Amino acid sequence: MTSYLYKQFFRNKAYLMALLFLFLVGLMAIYTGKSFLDKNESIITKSTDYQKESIEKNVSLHQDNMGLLLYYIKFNFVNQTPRLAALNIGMRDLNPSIKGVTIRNLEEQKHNTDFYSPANAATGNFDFSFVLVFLFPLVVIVFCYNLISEDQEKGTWKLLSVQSKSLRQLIDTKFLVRFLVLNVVYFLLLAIAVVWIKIPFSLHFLAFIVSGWLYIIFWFVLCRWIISYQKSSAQNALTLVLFWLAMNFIVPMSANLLIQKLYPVKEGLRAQIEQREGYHNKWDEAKDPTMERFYKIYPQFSQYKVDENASSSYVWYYAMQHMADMESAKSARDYDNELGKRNNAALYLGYLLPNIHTQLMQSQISQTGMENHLNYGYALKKFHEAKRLFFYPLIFSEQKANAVDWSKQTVQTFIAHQKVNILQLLLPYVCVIGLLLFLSNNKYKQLC
Amino acid sequence: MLKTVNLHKKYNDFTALKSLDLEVKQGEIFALLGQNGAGKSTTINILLGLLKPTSGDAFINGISVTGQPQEVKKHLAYIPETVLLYPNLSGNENLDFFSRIAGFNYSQNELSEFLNRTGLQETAHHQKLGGYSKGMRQKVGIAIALAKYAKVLLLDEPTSGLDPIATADFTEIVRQFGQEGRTVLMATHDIFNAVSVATNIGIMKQGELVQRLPCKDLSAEDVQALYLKTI
Repeated sequence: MTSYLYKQFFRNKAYLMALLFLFLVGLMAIYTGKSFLDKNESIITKSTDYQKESIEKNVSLHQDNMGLLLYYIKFNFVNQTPRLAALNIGMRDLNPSIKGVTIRNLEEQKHNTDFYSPANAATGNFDFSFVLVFLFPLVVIVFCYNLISEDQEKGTWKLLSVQSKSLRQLIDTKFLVRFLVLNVVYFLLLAIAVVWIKIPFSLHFLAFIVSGWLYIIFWFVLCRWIISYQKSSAQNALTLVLFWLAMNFIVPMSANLLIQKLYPVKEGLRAQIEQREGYHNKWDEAKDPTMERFYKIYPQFSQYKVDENASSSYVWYYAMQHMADMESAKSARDYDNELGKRNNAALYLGYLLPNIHTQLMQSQISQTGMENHLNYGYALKKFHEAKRLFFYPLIFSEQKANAVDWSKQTVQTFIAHQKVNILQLLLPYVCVIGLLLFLSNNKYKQLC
Repeated sequence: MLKTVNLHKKYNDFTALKSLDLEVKQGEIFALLGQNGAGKSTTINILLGLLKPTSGDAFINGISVTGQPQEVKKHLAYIPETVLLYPNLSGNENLDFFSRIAGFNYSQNELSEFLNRTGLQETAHHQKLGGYSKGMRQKVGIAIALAKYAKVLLLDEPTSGLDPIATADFTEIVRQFGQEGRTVLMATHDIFNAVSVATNIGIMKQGELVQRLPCKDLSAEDVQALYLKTI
């Protein structure tokens, strides 16, 4: 019986076209991911050379003035991009994977984007996750919307009903045929991605594969439930497309508006203004209050005194820059907290909607989501602080450039240790799939 | 072999079947005559388990249609007015597919034999069904029924639209079914064909079986006169 169901499937040109379309689009998505990864790697490689060149150039220009030298030198800090990010670019196009920062105030620099233009992201990410979340379901709908109604409308249903030992088994086998064929495309694309992008096999990759696979199962089970009501093909197709539209556009858009209203993120702009005003105003203020607060935070630098009447002082200048960050610290923290809350709200919504869950989980696994962005931000802060604490004594004691072994000032990398929470990943899928199976099984019992 | 007891079917305010009591014994070929809407197809659909009766029950080989519909189907074969099969499979493949879902796994020779018995030309066995005439599709439908070795055969206007030769072929096969001891219930408008093949005839009117008579000593003209008088 199954061999004939395969025959019927493969003799339908529309199905073959849909499979071919999906495969080609999947290849394009993998290519997009590969290009993203190559571009990213090229930028990171170039930045290493650029930092070296920049240091050499500035050292030769300002070798007697460490304060001025550190005004110019940027230190690059890379957010390591896993190979898996090629399959889910996530927020990595908007949030660059490398930041070059001077030891001056950080808050302003955090939001500067030197290496990428956000305009690049305007077209969105046509990555593998996009194909999986948006296009795979459409093909599932095309394959399954009329599994019962086609026979009813073409008149073969009665004969099937009389002949078949179990109609339920027959319909489920039809589902299985389509599921297995789609699995071939899914796993073939992943195999191509593994070879082409050189994705290492890891728990993360396995979690990525399983989440996509369960998402495909979800759509099959949803179709199984919808068609169990035995409505017409047109009605089934319309219902399923409405589900697709609602899940992928209407609900996420509405939820986004709601989340923005619930968690307004005004702190980003506030932090920028506070830090900017922080150091701009200090040009017109007395130096002592700034220095007192600086010494309070870093008593180890209290030996470096500043003459209130001195026309310029790098001790005061860097202290003033530092205090700008301190003054905007609360807003910066609030900004991160609000972003975290937004991300959590989206995660909770994802527990109900497998498409959102898949996107968020795959971004999390691929280290391209909000969590990684925030963690990179915290790591950048630590990196920046470490650079400051290394260079402050050298600047404050008016050392010359040759006091530093500049060859050790290389590009550093943040490596996120993203854990995979199997329960958090699988449970929403299992619950939704289980519920739909339960609902559809009740209807299928009536089929005999 | 086939029995309906006080079978009643209502669609909202419309009564399609009124207390139908019908018994068709083993080897009997029973032709149900009646106008459109008389309840013939409703009776067949209830026997097939595709419709649930409002009240009453039907039994095939002593098994309740409402109680054990899946078990009943094992004993039933069905040939509709227009046999609709899968156009992207050949006649042979359609027969094999419908036999397999019924639990029968035949060899290629056996499949060919079933198709040959219906008179379907051998050259057509492996042609896609999309190119078949109605009569050829009907023959594949008969082959499917033959291959199921069902004890009861339900036919719903089986000769409608068939040419005279195909009708004669079909009638011969139905007669053979009866001779093999199978029970046949046939809903039809074709009085002449009914008389030539059936052992008993029933006339339905507005959901009721108003006449039941043996065909043995009746001519088609007698039945036609009775039919016109009854309806």
